[in-house]
Amino acid sequence: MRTSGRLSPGFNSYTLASQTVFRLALAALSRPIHRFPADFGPLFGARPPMPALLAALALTLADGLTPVWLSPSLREASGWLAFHRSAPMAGTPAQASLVLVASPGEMPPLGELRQGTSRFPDRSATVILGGVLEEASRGIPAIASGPGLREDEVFEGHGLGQGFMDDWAINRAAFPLGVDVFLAGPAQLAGLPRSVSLSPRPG
Amino acid sequence: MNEDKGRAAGLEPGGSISEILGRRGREDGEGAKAYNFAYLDEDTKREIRRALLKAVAIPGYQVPFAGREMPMPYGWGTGGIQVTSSIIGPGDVLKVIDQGSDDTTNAVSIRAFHQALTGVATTTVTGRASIIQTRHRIPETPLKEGQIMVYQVPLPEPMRPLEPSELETRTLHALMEYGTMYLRLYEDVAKHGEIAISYDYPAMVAGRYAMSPSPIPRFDNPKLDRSPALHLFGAGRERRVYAVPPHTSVRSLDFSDHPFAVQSWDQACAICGATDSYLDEIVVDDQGGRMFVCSDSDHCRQRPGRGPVEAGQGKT
Repeated sequence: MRTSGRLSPGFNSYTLASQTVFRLALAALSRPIHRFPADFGPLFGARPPMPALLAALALTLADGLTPVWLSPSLREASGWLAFHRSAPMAGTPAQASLVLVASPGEMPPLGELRQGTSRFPDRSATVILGGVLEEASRGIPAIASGPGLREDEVFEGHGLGQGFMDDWAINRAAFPLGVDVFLAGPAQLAGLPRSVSLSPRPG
Repeated sequence: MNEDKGRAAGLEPGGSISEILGRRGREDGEGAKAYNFAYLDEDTKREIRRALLKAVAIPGYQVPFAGREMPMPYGWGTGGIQVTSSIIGPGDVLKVIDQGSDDTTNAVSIRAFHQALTGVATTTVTGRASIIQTRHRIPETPLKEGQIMVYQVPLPEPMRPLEPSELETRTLHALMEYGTMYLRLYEDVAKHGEIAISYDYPAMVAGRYAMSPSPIPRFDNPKLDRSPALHLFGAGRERRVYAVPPHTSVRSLDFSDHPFAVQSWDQACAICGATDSYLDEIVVDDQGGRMFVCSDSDHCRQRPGRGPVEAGQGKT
């Protein structure tokens, strides 16, 4: 990914790009599991050293106040993120407030991440999980319900395994504590706030 | 709120925001371009954005944020302005209302502020707006999916009149211990025979957090329940943001034998004849004459067949 030791640029225009990315993230979290089209490649001056969606959310949300944990295959991008956003790198997922994960295979258990405290449940981790939402990959369909959903909806969970679904049930049960997840697919973004429950689909 | 009104009425020596920006524009020829897009610096916006995402994930919970000093005093809507500045983009269409009206000083000044610093399109028509910043009303026109309401909040903590300690109210929220709030309602019933809270009527969000809906009349509380729009609340002085996501249950606190009810009037709007809107009482002479008109100026303007009606009709 690294080109002859040089760092690739960040957003073409930080102000406008970060606003665009944030508004999509806000929409995704307000309207859980809905897959929003998200083509963030053109926002960058050059190909970023991690998938464009992860890179865009990281540049939009990370700064010196947010320890970031990068899953193993994203580690090469730590210099890029540290340079553009001055984000400190967390040694373990438990220390991070922003957790960037390339694919479900590299996902640390949700329960190990920052959960917030009973008085300050907002002091919890935000996960940006790549390698999901691809139609071709299998998932365990579930019924999603909660704030932001007008009625119960089927969540296909493309790319997410039983481990994640079990973790999510525990995460939901701990509400208002818990972590919030952004699912980043190929040019698609979906939000999974802690307030949403995913129950097994009957039959 | 009277204090706010005094400021909004231009009693401050500095003049209105638009005057300040207009003056600046004339002096240096650059005007608002000398500022970052939407006034706030990117670090501030990013911190508010992170807080807003957590606020949406935990509906009704108050997320602390590092409120900035704004070029206007607290009470003018600094919380709402910071939220709007953090979310707004060039493609947005902004509407700003104060007590339902697009053309009061506070609304005009805040609209001019955002317009000068972002260049976004503005509107007075509820249906055309993507962001509606509001002080103390929710428009009568039903909100749509994709719209964002931004509220200016003076006191975000519904239990503050009962419990001065922030540590204590946070603990009560954590334990979902809202007994004192019901006691407050009960005392109203015991004293007045009914729940006598006419605005800022506390509500439960998604069955978990008690929330102050900001000083909207309780007439507007039912509009929050399962609203298709996203509602963001910003308290500048208290440095808190909170949110009600779309399609989220917002239940006004009540008792089964004293159910929540909205205000009603036996008059219609003296201008448009609406009987379904929130009415402001306006004193029209010194003989006790008064009229009732829609608080929502856009709703009043949009009403079909609206015709002028003589003032003083609603004399009571």
